[in-house]
Amino acid sequence: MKWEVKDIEMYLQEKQYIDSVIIPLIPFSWGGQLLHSVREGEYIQILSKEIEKQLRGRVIMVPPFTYLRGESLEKSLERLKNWENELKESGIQFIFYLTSDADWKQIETQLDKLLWLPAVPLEHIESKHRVKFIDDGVGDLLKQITQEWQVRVQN
Amino acid sequence: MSNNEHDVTRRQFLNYTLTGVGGFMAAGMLMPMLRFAVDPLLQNKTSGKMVAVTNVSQLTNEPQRFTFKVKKVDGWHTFEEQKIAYIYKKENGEILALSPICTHLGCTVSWNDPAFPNEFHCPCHGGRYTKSGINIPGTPPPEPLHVYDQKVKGGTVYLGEDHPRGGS
Repeated sequence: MKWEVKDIEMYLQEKQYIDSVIIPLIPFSWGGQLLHSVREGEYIQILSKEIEKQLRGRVIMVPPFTYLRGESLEKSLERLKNWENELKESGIQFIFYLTSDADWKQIETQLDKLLWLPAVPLEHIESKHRVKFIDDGVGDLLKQITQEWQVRVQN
Repeated sequence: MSNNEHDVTRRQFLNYTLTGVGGFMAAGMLMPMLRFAVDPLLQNKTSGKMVAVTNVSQLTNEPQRFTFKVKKVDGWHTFEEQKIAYIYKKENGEILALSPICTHLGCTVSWNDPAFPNEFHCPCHGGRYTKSGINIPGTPPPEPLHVYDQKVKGGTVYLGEDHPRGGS
């Protein structure tokens, strides 16, 4: 579901079915890293839109968590944990973090479930191949998400 | 007064003009009303155009996934929406095009998942449908998968809007 009143109203009605949240992690910077940051952000936003569409009955896509690229990882993590606590307190069971920023991989174990994908320079790819690329990326992420759902049901 | 037969009296003249003007005014009021009353009949029934999706020769007895794009308007924002259809030929040769949007909460179902062979399966809450899109009792979906309007012209399959199926 999207971060929109119409969808959230539905969530409030069907709470028992919706137990997952995806938080896109998107770095912000200017200067030398500008293009790099934008590419990562754009890619993640395209992916999240697609994933939202496919899993909208169980997942809420929340606004991206943004941070300055220069911000220390500990600091970002601390802020992110506040989000996590807020969600957990309200009964959300699965939190997926979606990012192209490889820095997060260093602290993967401290996050509920990190979904990391290297950003693809889509602007260099022909539009018909672009769809295929996104499709593949989305398929891979869907598998990871549904696997996580199944694993924890069994435990 | 030079009254000959062709002359019109003042009274007659006023009568004619008043009826004429009154008639126009009445028509001006009635025409739009009539138009509104008739309007639903003039509406184009097949709202949204049909889109070419694939060739008939591509279709088999096994549902296959096809994607196609539809123009959509949301308020002031026009955009292309990518849609998915699972299309196959029934035993009697009829073509069935199913929308993979789960009728429970709107996730996208997939065909022939290894764990659920020969069924449509929803990854979110385990909803299941038979090959023809009928929801399997005991799983969350309340109704069968929707079916696309479909027509074949010159060997090409065109799809339109999707509709719920009445009764299953």
